Amino acid sequence: MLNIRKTRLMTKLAIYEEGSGKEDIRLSKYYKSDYVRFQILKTILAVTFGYLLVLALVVLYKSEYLIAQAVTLDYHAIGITVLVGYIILLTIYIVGTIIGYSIKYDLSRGKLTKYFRMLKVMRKIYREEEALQSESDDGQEQ
Amino acid sequence: MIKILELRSLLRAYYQKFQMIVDPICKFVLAFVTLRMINSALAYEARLEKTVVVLLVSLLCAFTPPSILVLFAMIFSILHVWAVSKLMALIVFVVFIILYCFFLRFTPQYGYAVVAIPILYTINVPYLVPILLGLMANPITMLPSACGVVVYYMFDIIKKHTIANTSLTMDDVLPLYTEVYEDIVNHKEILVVALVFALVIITVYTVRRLKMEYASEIAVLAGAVVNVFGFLICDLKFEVAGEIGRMILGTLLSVVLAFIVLFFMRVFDYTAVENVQFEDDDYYYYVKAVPKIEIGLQDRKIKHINEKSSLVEDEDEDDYEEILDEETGEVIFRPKNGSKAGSQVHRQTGSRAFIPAQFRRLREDLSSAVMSHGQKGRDELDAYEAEKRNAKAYERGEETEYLNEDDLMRMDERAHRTEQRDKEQSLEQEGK
Repeated sequence: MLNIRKTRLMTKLAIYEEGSGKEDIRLSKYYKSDYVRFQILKTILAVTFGYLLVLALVVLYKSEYLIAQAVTLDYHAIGITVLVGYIILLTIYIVGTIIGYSIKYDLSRGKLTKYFRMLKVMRKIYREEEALQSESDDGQEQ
Repeated sequence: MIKILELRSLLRAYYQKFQMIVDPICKFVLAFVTLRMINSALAYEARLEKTVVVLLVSLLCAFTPPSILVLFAMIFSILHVWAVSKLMALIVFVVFIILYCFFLRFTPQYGYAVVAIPILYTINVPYLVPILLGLMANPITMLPSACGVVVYYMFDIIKKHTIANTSLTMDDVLPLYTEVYEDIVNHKEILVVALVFALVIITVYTVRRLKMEYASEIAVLAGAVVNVFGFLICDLKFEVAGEIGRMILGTLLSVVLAFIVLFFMRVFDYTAVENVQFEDDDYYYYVKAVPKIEIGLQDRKIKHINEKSSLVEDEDEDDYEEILDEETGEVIFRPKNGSKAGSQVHRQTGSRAFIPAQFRRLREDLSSAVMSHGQKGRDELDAYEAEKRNAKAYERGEETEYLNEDDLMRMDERAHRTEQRDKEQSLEQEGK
Protein backbone atom coordinates (compact mmCIF):
# COMPACT_ATOMS: atom_id res chain seq x y z
CA MET A 1 0.00 0.00 0.00
CA LEU A 2 1.19 3.49 -0.80
CA ASN A 3 1.52 5.72 2.20
CA ILE A 4 0.27 9.10 1.04
CA ARG A 5 1.71 10.95 4.02
CA LYS A 6 5.10 9.43 3.37
CA THR A 7 4.94 10.17 -0.34
CA ARG A 8 4.09 13.80 0.34
CA LEU A 9 6.97 14.19 2.73
CA MET A 10 9.37 12.41 0.42
CA THR A 11 8.31 14.68 -2.44
CA LYS A 12 8.99 17.76 -0.35
CA LEU A 13 12.36 16.38 0.66
CA ALA A 14 13.24 15.52 -2.93
CA ILE A 15 12.28 18.99 -4.19
CA TYR A 16 14.50 20.57 -1.55
CA GLU A 17 17.35 18.14 -2.17
CA GLU A 18 17.33 18.71 -5.91
CA GLY A 19 16.74 22.44 -5.75
CA SER A 20 17.98 24.96 -3.24
CA GLY A 21 19.04 22.24 -0.83
CA LYS A 22 21.82 20.89 -3.01
CA GLU A 23 24.18 23.64 -1.92
CA ASP A 24 22.97 23.55 1.70
CA ILE A 25 23.58 19.83 1.98
CA ARG A 26 27.04 20.27 0.49
CA LEU A 27 27.77 22.94 3.09
CA SER A 28 26.50 20.73 5.91
CA LYS A 29 29.59 18.56 5.47
CA TYR A 30 31.85 21.36 6.72
CA TYR A 31 32.28 23.07 10.03
CA LYS A 32 31.75 26.78 9.68
CA SER A 33 35.39 27.64 10.32
CA ASP A 34 36.58 25.00 7.84
CA TYR A 35 34.19 26.18 5.19
CA VAL A 36 35.13 29.84 5.55
CA ARG A 37 38.83 28.96 5.57
CA PHE A 38 38.44 26.91 2.43
CA GLN A 39 36.68 29.81 0.73
CA ILE A 40 39.43 32.19 1.84
CA LEU A 41 41.96 29.88 0.25
CA LYS A 42 40.04 29.86 -3.01
CA THR A 43 39.69 33.65 -2.88
CA ILE A 44 43.43 34.08 -2.34
CA LEU A 45 44.16 31.89 -5.35
CA ALA A 46 41.63 33.69 -7.56
CA VAL A 47 42.72 37.15 -6.49
CA THR A 48 46.41 36.29 -6.99
CA PHE A 49 45.70 34.92 -10.45
CA GLY A 50 43.57 37.94 -11.37
CA TYR A 51 46.17 40.33 -10.01
CA LEU A 52 48.90 38.65 -12.04
CA LEU A 53 46.80 38.98 -15.18
CA VAL A 54 46.20 42.66 -14.48
CA LEU A 55 49.93 43.09 -13.98
CA ALA A 56 50.54 41.32 -17.28
CA LEU A 57 48.20 43.72 -19.07
CA VAL A 58 49.94 46.71 -17.46
CA VAL A 59 53.35 45.32 -18.35
CA LEU A 60 52.24 44.79 -21.95
CA TYR A 61 50.99 48.37 -22.08
CA LYS A 62 54.23 49.76 -20.72
CA SER A 63 56.42 47.23 -22.54
CA GLU A 64 58.13 49.75 -24.77
CA TYR A 65 58.97 51.98 -21.84
CA LEU A 66 60.05 49.02 -19.71
CA ILE A 67 62.35 47.65 -22.39
CA ALA A 68 63.84 51.06 -23.06
CA GLN A 69 64.44 51.81 -19.38
CA ALA A 70 65.24 48.25 -18.29
CA VAL A 71 68.57 49.18 -16.81
CA THR A 72 67.66 52.36 -14.96
CA LEU A 73 64.38 51.17 -13.45
CA ASP A 74 63.92 51.32 -9.68
CA TYR A 75 62.82 47.70 -9.29
CA HIS A 76 62.70 47.98 -5.54
CA ALA A 77 60.10 50.76 -5.58
CA ILE A 78 58.06 49.02 -8.28
CA GLY A 79 58.14 45.79 -6.32
CA ILE A 80 56.94 47.51 -3.14
CA THR A 81 54.11 49.29 -4.98
CA VAL A 82 52.97 46.05 -6.57
CA LEU A 83 53.18 44.17 -3.29
CA VAL A 84 51.34 46.85 -1.28
CA GLY A 85 48.62 46.92 -3.91
CA TYR A 86 48.37 43.16 -3.75
CA ILE A 87 48.19 43.06 0.05
CA ILE A 88 45.52 45.78 0.20
CA LEU A 89 43.45 44.01 -2.44
CA LEU A 90 43.86 40.67 -0.73
CA THR A 91 42.87 42.10 2.68
CA ILE A 92 39.71 43.63 1.24
CA TYR A 93 38.80 40.37 -0.48
CA ILE A 94 39.55 38.21 2.55
CA VAL A 95 37.42 40.37 4.84
CA GLY A 96 34.64 40.31 2.24
CA THR A 97 34.94 36.55 1.92
CA ILE A 98 34.77 35.98 5.68
CA ILE A 99 31.66 38.13 6.04
CA GLY A 100 29.92 36.90 2.89
CA TYR A 101 30.50 33.19 3.33
CA SER A 102 29.74 33.28 7.07
CA ILE A 103 26.34 34.77 6.26
CA LYS A 104 25.83 32.17 3.55
CA TYR A 105 26.72 29.34 5.92
CA ASP A 106 24.39 30.60 8.65
CA LEU A 107 21.54 30.96 6.18
CA SER A 108 22.05 27.44 4.88
CA ARG A 109 22.03 26.11 8.46
CA GLY A 110 18.66 27.77 9.00
CA LYS A 111 17.23 25.99 5.99
CA LEU A 112 18.87 22.72 6.95
CA THR A 113 17.21 22.61 10.37
CA LYS A 114 13.85 22.62 8.58
CA TYR A 115 15.09 19.82 6.36
CA PHE A 116 16.29 17.77 9.31
CA ARG A 117 12.95 18.25 11.03
CA MET A 118 11.28 16.75 7.98
CA LEU A 119 13.76 13.89 8.03
CA LYS A 120 12.86 13.21 11.65
CA VAL A 121 9.18 12.98 10.76
CA MET A 122 10.20 10.67 7.96
CA ARG A 123 12.04 8.42 10.38
CA LYS A 124 8.95 8.33 12.59
CA ILE A 125 6.83 7.25 9.65
CA TYR A 126 9.30 4.50 8.86
CA ARG A 127 9.16 3.27 12.46
CA GLU A 128 5.37 3.25 12.35
CA GLU A 129 5.47 1.27 9.13
CA GLU A 130 7.90 -1.20 10.58
CA ALA A 131 5.75 -1.63 13.68
CA LEU A 132 2.70 -2.28 11.48
CA GLN A 133 4.68 -4.71 9.41
CA SER A 134 5.87 -6.68 12.42
CA GLU A 135 2.35 -6.70 13.86
CA SER A 136 0.92 -8.13 10.69
CA ASP A 137 3.76 -10.66 10.54
CA ASP A 138 2.97 -11.73 14.09
CA GLY A 139 -0.68 -12.03 13.16
CA GLN A 140 0.17 -14.27 10.25
CA GLU A 141 2.38 -16.47 12.35
CA GLN A 142 -0.34 -16.95 14.93
CA MET B 1 -7.55 45.68 -11.98
CA ILE B 2 -9.65 42.53 -11.63
CA LYS B 3 -9.15 41.88 -15.33
CA ILE B 4 -5.38 42.02 -14.87
CA LEU B 5 -5.53 39.66 -11.92
CA GLU B 6 -7.68 37.26 -13.85
CA LEU B 7 -5.25 37.40 -16.75
CA ARG B 8 -2.47 36.62 -14.32
CA SER B 9 -4.30 33.60 -12.94
CA LEU B 10 -5.02 32.42 -16.45
CA LEU B 11 -1.38 32.80 -17.47
CA ARG B 12 -0.29 31.00 -14.35
CA ALA B 13 -2.59 28.09 -15.06
CA TYR B 14 -1.41 27.87 -18.66
CA TYR B 15 2.21 28.16 -17.62
CA GLN B 16 1.84 25.26 -15.22
CA LYS B 17 0.29 23.24 -17.99
CA PHE B 18 2.81 24.02 -20.71
CA GLN B 19 5.91 24.69 -18.61
CA MET B 20 7.85 21.95 -20.35
CA ILE B 21 7.38 23.67 -23.72
CA VAL B 22 7.36 27.32 -22.67
CA ASP B 23 10.68 27.29 -20.81
CA PRO B 24 12.88 26.02 -23.67
CA ILE B 25 11.09 28.29 -26.16
CA CYS B 26 11.76 31.34 -23.97
CA LYS B 27 15.40 30.33 -23.58
CA PHE B 28 15.72 29.72 -27.31
CA VAL B 29 14.30 33.13 -28.18
CA LEU B 30 16.50 34.80 -25.57
CA ALA B 31 19.62 33.07 -26.90
CA PHE B 32 18.71 33.84 -30.50
CA VAL B 33 18.13 37.54 -29.81
CA THR B 34 21.32 37.79 -27.73
CA LEU B 35 23.52 36.16 -30.36
CA ARG B 36 21.96 38.16 -33.18
CA MET B 37 22.60 41.37 -31.25
CA ILE B 38 26.23 40.41 -30.63
CA ASN B 39 26.57 39.61 -34.33
CA SER B 40 25.12 42.92 -35.41
CA ALA B 41 27.18 44.88 -32.88
CA LEU B 42 30.55 43.23 -33.69
CA ALA B 43 30.11 42.15 -37.28
CA TYR B 44 33.68 41.02 -37.95
CA GLU B 45 33.41 37.29 -38.36
CA ALA B 46 31.05 36.42 -41.22
CA ARG B 47 30.89 32.73 -40.38
CA LEU B 48 29.31 33.41 -37.01
CA GLU B 49 26.63 35.55 -38.60
CA LYS B 50 25.16 32.64 -40.52
CA THR B 51 21.62 31.94 -39.40
CA VAL B 52 22.33 28.22 -39.19
CA VAL B 53 25.10 28.75 -36.65
CA VAL B 54 23.01 31.13 -34.56
CA LEU B 55 20.02 28.78 -34.70
CA LEU B 56 22.05 25.75 -33.70
CA VAL B 57 23.71 27.49 -30.77
CA SER B 58 20.35 28.94 -29.67
CA LEU B 59 18.86 25.46 -29.80
CA LEU B 60 21.66 24.19 -27.61
CA CYS B 61 21.07 27.05 -25.17
CA ALA B 62 17.37 26.21 -25.02
CA PHE B 63 18.07 22.92 -23.27
CA THR B 64 21.05 23.87 -21.12
CA PRO B 65 21.39 26.04 -18.00
CA PRO B 66 21.47 29.83 -18.50
CA SER B 67 25.19 29.99 -17.79
CA ILE B 68 25.84 28.23 -21.11
CA LEU B 69 24.26 31.18 -22.91
CA VAL B 70 26.64 33.51 -21.08
CA LEU B 71 29.54 31.31 -22.13
CA PHE B 72 28.44 31.31 -25.78
CA ALA B 73 27.93 35.07 -25.73
CA MET B 74 31.52 35.47 -24.52
CA ILE B 75 32.84 32.99 -27.07
CA PHE B 76 31.00 34.76 -29.87
CA SER B 77 32.33 38.17 -28.88
CA ILE B 78 35.89 36.85 -28.55
CA LEU B 79 35.69 35.12 -31.94
CA HIS B 80 34.44 38.30 -33.58
CA VAL B 81 37.39 40.24 -32.19
CA TRP B 82 39.70 37.35 -33.18
CA ALA B 83 38.74 37.93 -36.80
CA VAL B 84 40.14 41.47 -36.67
CA SER B 85 42.99 41.20 -34.24
CA LYS B 86 44.27 38.09 -32.52
CA LEU B 87 46.04 39.99 -29.78
CA MET B 88 42.93 42.00 -28.97
CA ALA B 89 40.95 38.78 -28.74
CA LEU B 90 43.49 37.40 -26.33
CA ILE B 91 43.26 40.55 -24.26
CA VAL B 92 39.46 40.40 -24.22
CA PHE B 93 39.78 36.81 -23.02
CA VAL B 94 42.19 37.87 -20.28
CA VAL B 95 39.83 40.65 -19.23
CA PHE B 96 36.99 38.14 -18.98
CA ILE B 97 39.12 35.94 -16.75
CA ILE B 98 40.06 38.91 -14.57
CA LEU B 99 36.41 39.86 -14.23
CA TYR B 100 35.64 36.29 -13.28
CA CYS B 101 38.38 36.12 -10.66
CA PHE B 102 37.50 39.41 -9.05
CA PHE B 103 33.75 39.61 -9.38
CA LEU B 104 31.81 36.84 -11.09
CA ARG B 105 33.29 34.05 -8.99
CA PHE B 106 31.12 35.13 -6.09
CA THR B 107 27.87 35.25 -8.01
CA PRO B 108 28.05 32.81 -10.90
CA GLN B 109 24.26 32.50 -10.96
CA TYR B 110 23.90 36.15 -11.98
CA GLY B 111 26.32 35.88 -14.88
CA TYR B 112 23.55 36.75 -17.32
CA ALA B 113 23.66 40.34 -16.02
CA VAL B 114 27.08 40.66 -17.66
CA VAL B 115 25.53 39.77 -21.00
CA ALA B 116 22.28 41.65 -20.45
CA ILE B 117 23.81 45.08 -19.80
CA PRO B 118 25.78 45.35 -23.09
CA ILE B 119 22.86 43.85 -25.04
CA LEU B 120 20.33 46.24 -23.53
CA TYR B 121 22.68 49.16 -24.12
CA THR B 122 22.09 48.67 -27.83
CA ILE B 123 18.38 49.36 -27.35
CA ASN B 124 19.07 52.05 -24.75
CA VAL B 125 17.50 50.33 -21.73
CA PRO B 126 20.48 49.05 -19.69
CA TYR B 127 18.85 50.69 -16.65
CA LEU B 128 16.42 47.78 -16.58
CA VAL B 129 19.13 45.39 -15.37
CA PRO B 130 20.00 47.05 -12.02
CA ILE B 131 16.31 47.62 -11.29
CA LEU B 132 15.52 43.97 -11.90
CA LEU B 133 18.55 42.77 -9.97
CA GLY B 134 17.44 44.86 -7.02
CA LEU B 135 13.95 43.40 -7.32
CA MET B 136 14.91 39.76 -7.61
CA ALA B 137 18.32 39.37 -6.05
CA ASN B 138 20.49 40.91 -3.36
CA PRO B 139 23.01 43.77 -3.31
CA ILE B 140 25.91 41.43 -4.11
CA THR B 141 24.68 41.57 -7.72
CA MET B 142 26.33 44.95 -8.01
CA LEU B 143 29.45 42.94 -8.87
CA PRO B 144 28.08 41.34 -12.07
CA SER B 145 26.37 44.59 -13.02
CA ALA B 146 29.74 46.36 -12.73
CA CYS B 147 31.22 43.63 -14.94
CA GLY B 148 28.48 44.22 -17.48
CA VAL B 149 29.31 47.92 -17.58
CA VAL B 150 33.01 47.18 -18.03
CA VAL B 151 32.30 44.70 -20.83
CA TYR B 152 30.04 47.14 -22.65
CA TYR B 153 32.53 49.99 -22.54
CA MET B 154 35.41 47.69 -23.43
CA PHE B 155 33.71 46.49 -26.60
CA ASP B 156 32.57 50.02 -27.38
CA ILE B 157 36.16 51.24 -27.22
CA ILE B 158 37.56 48.25 -29.11
CA LYS B 159 34.99 48.82 -31.85
CA LYS B 160 35.91 52.48 -32.15
CA HIS B 161 39.59 51.71 -32.52
CA THR B 162 39.29 48.76 -34.86
CA ILE B 163 37.09 50.83 -37.16
CA ALA B 164 39.72 53.57 -37.08
CA ASN B 165 42.46 51.07 -37.97
CA THR B 166 40.97 48.94 -40.70
CA SER B 167 44.32 47.85 -42.15
CA LEU B 168 45.71 45.81 -39.33
CA THR B 169 49.17 44.34 -39.48
CA MET B 170 51.12 42.82 -36.65
CA ASP B 171 53.02 46.08 -36.19
CA ASP B 172 49.82 47.97 -35.59
CA VAL B 173 48.62 45.61 -32.90
CA LEU B 174 50.65 46.92 -29.99
CA PRO B 175 49.86 50.61 -30.59
CA LEU B 176 46.21 49.61 -30.97
CA TYR B 177 46.38 47.86 -27.63
CA THR B 178 48.00 50.85 -25.91
CA GLU B 179 45.32 53.11 -27.38
CA VAL B 180 42.54 50.84 -26.16
CA TYR B 181 44.19 50.49 -22.77
CA GLU B 182 44.57 54.22 -22.33
CA ASP B 183 41.02 54.79 -23.45
CA ILE B 184 39.66 52.27 -20.97
CA VAL B 185 41.76 53.53 -18.07
CA ASN B 186 40.93 57.17 -18.80
CA HIS B 187 37.25 56.43 -19.27
CA LYS B 188 36.08 57.51 -15.82
CA GLU B 189 32.50 57.09 -17.00
CA ILE B 190 32.83 53.32 -16.54
CA LEU B 191 33.41 53.74 -12.83
CA VAL B 192 30.62 56.28 -12.38
CA VAL B 193 28.08 54.20 -14.34
CA ALA B 194 28.99 51.08 -12.36
CA LEU B 195 28.58 53.12 -9.18
CA VAL B 196 25.18 54.47 -10.22
CA PHE B 197 24.04 50.95 -11.08
CA ALA B 198 25.22 49.73 -7.69
CA LEU B 199 23.29 52.55 -6.01
CA VAL B 200 20.17 51.68 -7.99
CA ILE B 201 20.47 48.02 -6.95
CA ILE B 202 20.86 48.95 -3.29
CA THR B 203 17.96 51.42 -3.41
CA VAL B 204 15.58 49.01 -5.12
CA TYR B 205 16.59 46.20 -2.79
CA THR B 206 16.15 48.32 0.36
CA VAL B 207 12.79 49.76 -0.65
CA ARG B 208 11.49 46.40 -1.84
CA ARG B 209 12.13 44.87 1.56
CA LEU B 210 10.26 47.57 3.45
CA LYS B 211 7.11 46.26 5.04
CA MET B 212 4.52 48.30 3.21
CA GLU B 213 1.97 47.97 0.49
CA TYR B 214 3.23 48.06 -3.10
CA ALA B 215 6.82 47.97 -1.86
CA SER B 216 8.05 46.43 -5.14
CA GLU B 217 6.33 49.02 -7.31
CA ILE B 218 7.62 51.88 -5.19
CA ALA B 219 11.08 50.28 -5.27
CA VAL B 220 11.07 50.34 -9.08
CA LEU B 221 10.13 54.02 -9.09
CA ALA B 222 12.72 54.86 -6.41
CA GLY B 223 15.35 53.01 -8.45
CA ALA B 224 14.37 54.99 -11.52
CA VAL B 225 14.68 58.29 -9.64
CA VAL B 226 18.13 57.36 -8.30
CA ASN B 227 19.09 56.27 -11.81
CA VAL B 228 18.00 59.56 -13.40
CA PHE B 229 19.77 61.68 -10.80
CA GLY B 230 22.90 59.54 -10.90
CA PHE B 231 23.17 59.75 -14.66
CA LEU B 232 22.32 63.47 -14.64
CA ILE B 233 25.32 64.06 -12.40
CA CYS B 234 27.39 61.71 -14.54
CA ASP B 235 26.32 63.31 -17.83
CA LEU B 236 26.86 66.85 -16.56
CA LYS B 237 30.24 65.95 -15.14
CA PHE B 238 31.43 64.40 -18.39
CA GLU B 239 29.64 67.03 -20.45
CA VAL B 240 27.58 64.74 -22.60
CA ALA B 241 24.40 66.79 -22.30
CA GLY B 242 22.98 65.35 -25.50
CA GLU B 243 22.54 62.04 -23.76
CA ILE B 244 20.22 63.33 -21.03
CA GLY B 245 17.02 63.11 -23.07
CA ARG B 246 17.87 59.60 -24.23
CA MET B 247 18.76 58.58 -20.71
CA ILE B 248 15.46 59.81 -19.25
CA LEU B 249 13.53 58.13 -22.07
CA GLY B 250 15.48 54.93 -21.53
CA THR B 251 14.79 55.03 -17.79
CA LEU B 252 11.07 55.52 -18.38
CA LEU B 253 11.04 52.59 -20.79
CA SER B 254 12.99 50.54 -18.25
CA VAL B 255 10.39 51.34 -15.59
CA VAL B 256 7.59 50.19 -17.87
CA LEU B 257 9.49 47.01 -18.70
CA ALA B 258 10.27 46.48 -15.00
CA PHE B 259 6.56 46.69 -14.20
CA ILE B 260 5.80 44.14 -16.90
CA VAL B 261 8.52 41.85 -15.56
CA LEU B 262 7.21 42.36 -12.03
CA PHE B 263 3.78 41.28 -13.22
CA PHE B 264 5.13 38.12 -14.80
CA MET B 265 7.47 37.49 -11.89
CA ARG B 266 4.49 37.16 -9.62
CA VAL B 267 2.88 34.84 -12.13
CA PHE B 268 5.78 32.48 -12.41
CA ASP B 269 7.20 32.81 -8.94
CA TYR B 270 6.55 29.64 -6.96
CA THR B 271 4.33 28.27 -9.70
CA ALA B 272 6.87 26.04 -11.33
CA VAL B 273 5.79 22.43 -11.45
CA GLU B 274 8.40 20.16 -9.94
CA ASN B 275 9.11 16.77 -11.39
CA VAL B 276 11.03 14.67 -8.91
CA GLN B 277 12.11 11.07 -8.71
CA PHE B 278 12.94 9.11 -5.61
CA GLU B 279 12.58 5.66 -4.19
CA ASP B 280 12.06 3.79 -0.98
CA ASP B 281 12.34 0.10 -0.19
CA ASP B 282 9.17 -0.82 -2.03
CA TYR B 283 8.60 1.69 -4.82
CA TYR B 284 10.11 4.06 -7.33
CA TYR B 285 8.25 7.35 -7.26
CA TYR B 286 7.95 9.68 -10.22
CA VAL B 287 6.12 12.60 -8.71
CA LYS B 288 4.86 15.70 -10.43
CA ALA B 289 4.34 18.28 -7.71
CA VAL B 290 2.04 21.13 -8.72
CA PRO B 291 2.07 24.11 -6.32
CA LYS B 292 -1.34 25.04 -4.97
CA ILE B 293 -2.41 28.41 -6.21
CA GLU B 294 -5.68 30.23 -5.89
CA ILE B 295 -7.16 30.93 -9.24
CA GLY B 296 -9.29 33.96 -8.66
CA LEU B 297 -11.35 33.59 -11.80
CA GLN B 298 -14.88 34.58 -11.15
CA ASP B 299 -17.33 31.81 -11.69
CA ARG B 300 -19.93 33.89 -13.42
CA LYS B 301 -23.55 32.93 -13.73
CA ILE B 302 -25.82 35.26 -15.57
CA LYS B 303 -29.38 35.31 -14.29
CA HIS B 304 -31.85 37.04 -16.54
CA ILE B 305 -34.51 38.18 -14.15
CA ASN B 306 -36.92 39.64 -16.69
CA GLU B 307 -36.14 37.65 -19.77
CA LYS B 308 -39.32 36.19 -21.14
CA SER B 309 -39.96 37.96 -24.39
CA SER B 310 -40.19 34.70 -26.31
CA LEU B 311 -42.15 32.85 -23.70
CA VAL B 312 -45.06 35.16 -23.01
CA GLU B 313 -46.96 34.23 -26.11
CA ASP B 314 -48.59 31.23 -24.53
CA GLU B 315 -49.76 31.07 -21.03
CA ASP B 316 -46.59 30.39 -19.23
CA GLU B 317 -46.11 28.89 -15.87
CA ASP B 318 -43.98 31.89 -14.95
CA ASP B 319 -47.08 34.04 -15.08
CA TYR B 320 -48.54 32.10 -12.25
CA GLU B 321 -47.41 31.88 -8.76
CA GLU B 322 -47.79 28.63 -7.04
CA ILE B 323 -49.43 28.86 -3.64
CA LEU B 324 -50.76 26.46 -1.14
CA ASP B 325 -54.44 26.39 -0.53
CA GLU B 326 -54.55 26.23 3.24
CA GLU B 327 -58.08 24.81 3.40
CA THR B 328 -57.78 21.98 0.95
CA GLY B 329 -54.07 21.50 1.22
CA GLU B 330 -53.86 21.65 -2.58
CA VAL B 331 -51.28 23.44 -4.63
CA ILE B 332 -52.93 26.03 -6.81
CA PHE B 333 -51.70 28.34 -9.53
CA ARG B 334 -52.77 31.96 -9.29
CA PRO B 335 -51.95 34.56 -11.96
CA LYS B 336 -49.30 37.04 -10.91
CA ASN B 337 -50.10 40.75 -10.86
CA GLY B 338 -49.60 42.52 -14.17
CA SER B 339 -49.01 39.41 -16.18
CA LYS B 340 -50.75 38.77 -19.45
CA ALA B 341 -52.39 35.60 -18.26
CA GLY B 342 -56.06 35.58 -17.51
CA SER B 343 -57.36 35.89 -14.01
CA GLN B 344 -58.44 32.30 -13.95
CA VAL B 345 -57.14 30.23 -11.14
CA HIS B 346 -55.61 26.97 -12.31
CA ARG B 347 -56.11 24.03 -10.11
CA GLN B 348 -53.26 21.67 -10.29
CA THR B 349 -54.33 19.10 -12.81
CA GLY B 350 -51.95 16.43 -13.83
CA SER B 351 -48.51 17.17 -15.13
CA ARG B 352 -47.21 19.81 -17.47
CA ALA B 353 -45.39 18.67 -20.53
CA PHE B 354 -42.01 20.02 -19.58
CA ILE B 355 -41.85 18.42 -16.15
CA PRO B 356 -39.76 15.28 -16.20
CA ALA B 357 -41.15 12.08 -14.81
CA GLN B 358 -39.18 12.31 -11.60
CA PHE B 359 -40.68 15.67 -10.86
CA ARG B 360 -44.19 14.44 -11.46
CA ARG B 361 -43.69 11.82 -8.87
CA LEU B 362 -42.07 14.32 -6.62
CA ARG B 363 -45.04 16.61 -6.91
CA GLU B 364 -47.47 13.89 -6.00
CA ASP B 365 -45.28 12.98 -3.15
CA LEU B 366 -45.17 16.59 -2.09
CA SER B 367 -48.85 17.31 -2.16
CA SER B 368 -49.46 14.45 0.18
CA ALA B 369 -46.55 15.63 2.31
CA VAL B 370 -48.07 19.08 2.47
CA MET B 371 -51.28 17.61 3.63
CA SER B 372 -49.72 15.66 6.41
CA HIS B 373 -47.05 18.02 7.69
CA GLY B 374 -47.83 21.71 7.55
CA GLN B 375 -44.61 23.71 7.77
CA LYS B 376 -42.24 20.90 6.83
CA GLY B 377 -44.22 20.34 3.69
CA ARG B 378 -44.01 24.00 2.82
CA ASP B 379 -40.22 23.90 3.10
CA GLU B 380 -40.10 20.97 0.82
CA LEU B 381 -42.35 22.84 -1.54
CA ASP B 382 -39.89 25.70 -1.69
CA ALA B 383 -37.12 23.31 -2.51
CA TYR B 384 -39.30 21.74 -5.12
CA GLU B 385 -40.00 25.13 -6.65
CA ALA B 386 -36.35 25.86 -6.96
CA GLU B 387 -35.81 22.56 -8.65
CA LYS B 388 -38.65 23.25 -11.00
CA ARG B 389 -37.18 26.58 -11.98
CA ASN B 390 -33.92 24.87 -12.70
CA ALA B 391 -35.63 22.26 -14.80
CA LYS B 392 -37.26 24.95 -16.85
CA ALA B 393 -34.04 26.83 -17.35
CA TYR B 394 -32.45 23.56 -18.34
CA GLU B 395 -35.10 23.12 -21.00
CA ARG B 396 -34.40 26.56 -22.38
CA GLY B 397 -30.78 25.59 -22.75
CA GLU B 398 -29.45 27.90 -20.04
CA GLU B 399 -26.72 26.84 -17.74
CA THR B 400 -28.14 25.82 -14.43
CA GLU B 401 -27.30 23.65 -11.56
CA TYR B 402 -30.05 21.41 -12.74
CA LEU B 403 -29.34 17.75 -12.38
CA ASN B 404 -26.05 17.91 -10.71
CA GLU B 405 -25.02 14.86 -8.79
CA ASP B 406 -26.55 15.98 -5.51
CA ASP B 407 -29.91 16.59 -7.11
CA LEU B 408 -29.91 13.23 -8.78
CA MET B 409 -29.06 11.57 -5.52
CA ARG B 410 -31.79 13.43 -3.73
CA MET B 411 -34.26 12.47 -6.40
CA ASP B 412 -33.29 8.86 -6.19
CA GLU B 413 -33.70 8.98 -2.46
CA ARG B 414 -37.14 10.49 -2.74
CA ALA B 415 -38.22 8.04 -5.38
CA HIS B 416 -37.03 5.25 -3.18
CA ARG B 417 -38.93 6.64 -0.21
CA THR B 418 -42.13 6.98 -2.22
CA GLU B 419 -41.81 3.46 -3.42
CA GLN B 420 -41.37 2.17 0.10
CA ARG B 421 -44.31 4.18 1.35
CA ASP B 422 -46.46 2.83 -1.50
CA LYS B 423 -45.45 -0.65 -0.56
CA GLU B 424 -46.27 -0.03 3.07
CA GLN B 425 -49.62 1.41 2.17
CA SER B 426 -50.49 -1.52 -0.04
CA LEU B 427 -49.42 -3.90 2.73
CA GLU B 428 -51.59 -2.03 5.20
CA GLN B 429 -54.55 -2.21 2.83
CA GLU B 430 -54.02 -5.90 2.37
CA GLY B 431 -53.88 -6.31 6.15
CA LYS B 432 -57.19 -4.49 6.50
